[in-house]
Amino acid sequence: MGRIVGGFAMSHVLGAPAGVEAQSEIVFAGMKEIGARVRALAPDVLVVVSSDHMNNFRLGEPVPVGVAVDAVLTPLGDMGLPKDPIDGHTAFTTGFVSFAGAGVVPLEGVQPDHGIMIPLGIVDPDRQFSVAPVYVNTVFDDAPEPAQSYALGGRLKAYIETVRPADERVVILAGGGLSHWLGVPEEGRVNVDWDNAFVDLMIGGEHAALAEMTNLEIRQEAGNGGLEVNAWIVLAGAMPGSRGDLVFYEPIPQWASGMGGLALSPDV
Amino acid sequence: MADADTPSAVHNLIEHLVATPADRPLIRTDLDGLLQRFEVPEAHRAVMRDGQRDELARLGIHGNYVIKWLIWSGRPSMPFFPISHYFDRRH
Repeated sequence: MGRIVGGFAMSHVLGAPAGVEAQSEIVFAGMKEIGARVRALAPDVLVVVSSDHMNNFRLGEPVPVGVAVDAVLTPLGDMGLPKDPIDGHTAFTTGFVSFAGAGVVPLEGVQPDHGIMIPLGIVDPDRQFSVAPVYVNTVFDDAPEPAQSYALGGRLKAYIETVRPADERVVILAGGGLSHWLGVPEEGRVNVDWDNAFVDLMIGGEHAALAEMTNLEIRQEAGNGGLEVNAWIVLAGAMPGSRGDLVFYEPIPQWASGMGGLALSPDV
Repeated sequence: MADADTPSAVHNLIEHLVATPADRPLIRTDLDGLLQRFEVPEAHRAVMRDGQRDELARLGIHGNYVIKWLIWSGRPSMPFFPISHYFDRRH
């Protein structure tokens, strides 16, 4: 059986440093710290769970949950991000689609945007890892509810532990969140209290409580962009009860985001 | 209130521009033609031309598409920055 050797989550955006120089450096240092921890775990597969920003999907053809199955993926290059190709772990991704069953769609030709590429680009600047991109797209109505995201994480855990080769080392990296409102009048609001409470549940191992949340309450308290925390809930579902530590948190209204990152340990 | 078909017309327009980056300069060179081609209701073309985030949001346009439209139109809601400011220091 394979093993989940580490789990991480981080916001998947960066913004202009002007006016928030100190905060931007704390965030960037935290993201690099997560990168260093991932690399130290030497994963055979890096599963990146995140959302797209309507660059690879259309509203009329919603794909709430999909897995990019190409052997080589070329990043979109939005925000000027590097377009160096990504090594896709086809055996892992196609196997997971088959194992997960209904509701998980195989995707070909995806060009990952910053939702994947900011976390991955910082964690793996030299493109040394074989990657399994999993999309939990919270931009559609209806988006996957937290209970569904949590269950998806459970299927991912079961797949790794029952199907994947012995001693395969898997790290899960979730991208998105925390609270933010995007393209709406509330843009620039950050709900620090909500962010803190959500992070406490994540690192405290109180993951069943996450599955009881609803997208309605997340949207109200953490914004339309806050729904991206469903990717974090997938991570929690894959590592139920695991505790962890907060690597960084900075509320940055100028970036319209509560910026956070954490680590979960399978041994705690 | 927005016409019932305003969001869908604008969504079709923006999804075309997502898929066809070469057409994005038309926003600056032939905006009227672009809005006509995708049948954006005339009552809302002024907002598409000059409106800010909140006015676009009030038309019912998806938040991600509001952001894309504002960026492509040269009036982003958040300032540009070079990603190299961070990415050149990843190691």
